[in-house]
Amino acid sequence: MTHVNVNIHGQITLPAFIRKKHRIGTSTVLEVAERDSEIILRKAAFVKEDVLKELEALAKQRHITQKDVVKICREIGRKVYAEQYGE
Amino acid sequence: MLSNMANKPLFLDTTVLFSGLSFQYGISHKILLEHRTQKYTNEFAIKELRKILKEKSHADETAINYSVDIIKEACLIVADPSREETSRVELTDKADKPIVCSAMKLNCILITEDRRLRKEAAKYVETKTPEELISGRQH
Repeated sequence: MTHVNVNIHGQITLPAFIRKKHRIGTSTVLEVAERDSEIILRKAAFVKEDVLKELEALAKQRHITQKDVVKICREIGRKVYAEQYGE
Repeated sequence: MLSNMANKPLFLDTTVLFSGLSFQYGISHKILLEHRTQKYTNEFAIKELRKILKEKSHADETAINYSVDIIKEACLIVADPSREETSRVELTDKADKPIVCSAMKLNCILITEDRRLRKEAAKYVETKTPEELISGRQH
């Protein structure tokens, strides 16, 4: 059993061996649940179809069509390039 | 030739990733989620995708992370080229350099919805639009 401390912001650090064993990386989403006196942490299962439906709905809400994709990617791409490569 | 093309891996740029996730009836969606050839993208494209989903689609952090998880299931994500490597290619839009460089390095067919990039990148790497890739497979 491993002990971890909770910091002032309520955050904990998962030990490296656990992160490695369960392939938990920077963008991994974990589910926090309670059962009686226990706090359970597990990798969140997501339904791919639900995520795709949500993204499609968001694109529709924002009036983004297929025709807008190239223009949007160019605009954002320039920002990301400047941030990363400093040019 | 067709069998060589069939074996050559694909490099998906951000237009294909974003379209593939956001438009389920589009060709990019089929390529991203159904096409069986080995697919790659890079960290630069993922950063672009995250920013697009946040600033344009107004997706929340959870949806963005799940979206990246979907990409990770579909593609191998490779490290970005160095500044020195990107300086070796000349393209109208500098932001296309990390994508073209990675596709070249991996000897992939670059797939992009950007027709201007499709023409320009052709001097460095085999490039196709999603429509060209799918129609090519049907022959």
